[in-house]
Amino acid sequence: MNERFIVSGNDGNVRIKLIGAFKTSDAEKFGELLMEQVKLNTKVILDMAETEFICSGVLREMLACQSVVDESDEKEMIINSVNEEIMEVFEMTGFINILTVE
Amino acid sequence: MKEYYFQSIFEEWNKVSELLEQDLYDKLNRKDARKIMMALEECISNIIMYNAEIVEVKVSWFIENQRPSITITVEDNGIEFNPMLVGDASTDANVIKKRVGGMGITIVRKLMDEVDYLYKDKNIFVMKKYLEAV
Repeated sequence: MNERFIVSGNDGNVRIKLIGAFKTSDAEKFGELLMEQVKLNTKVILDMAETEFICSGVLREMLACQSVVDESDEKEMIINSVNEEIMEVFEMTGFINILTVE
Repeated sequence: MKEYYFQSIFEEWNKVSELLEQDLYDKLNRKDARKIMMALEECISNIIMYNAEIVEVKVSWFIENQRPSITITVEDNGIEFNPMLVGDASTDANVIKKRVGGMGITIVRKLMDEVDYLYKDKNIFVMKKYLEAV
C-alpha cells in the first residue's frame, strides 16, 4: 500500500500521489493515511494522475476527510489530475459538489 | 467465454481481479476496462461484505462482436440479494454527507449500459457494456 501512496512536501503543504487501483480492501488504510495528513497539514493535494480507478469505499473515506476540512477555516483538500472515468464517478455520485476537484 | 472462480474473501478477489484486469486491458480500450473494473469491484465487495459466511463466487465474461459489447456475469451462492431493488443513492451534497449507502450499486448502474438480476438457487447479476470498438 505505501508504495502506492507517496507523500511529499512540508510546512503544512503536502501532495499525496495515489498510484494504481484503490479497491475496497485498500479503503480503510487509505482513509487512515489521508485523515492523518489532513489533520497534520493545512493543504493536502491528492494527485490522481496515476490512479487507475477507485471504489465507493475510497469515496467514503474522502468524504470523511472533507468533513474535517470543512470544519476548519484554514484547511483545504484538493483533488487533481483525475482521469475521465474517475471524474465520471465523482459526477454521477454528486461528490463533485462536495470535493474540490481541479 | 472466460471464467474465474474464487471464495468471497478480499485476498482471493484481489488476486483474481489482477488477472481479470489484465485480460480486460488486453481486449478493451483502457476507458472501458477501467469502468468495468470499477463496477466489478462494487459487485464483489458487496458479496464479500454482506455475507456473514464465505461463499463461492464465479465471474465470467464474453465479448460479442456484432454490436461490440461485453457481458459480465457475477454469480454467488450467498444470501439472496436483489440489487435492482436498491434505489439510486442521492447526489444531493447534504444527503451524501449524512448517508452514503447504495452508492456502489448506483455506480454500477451508471457505469454499465444494462444490468439485470435473477435468483436461481444463487444470485446471478448480469452487466452489459457496449464498446466503442473491440
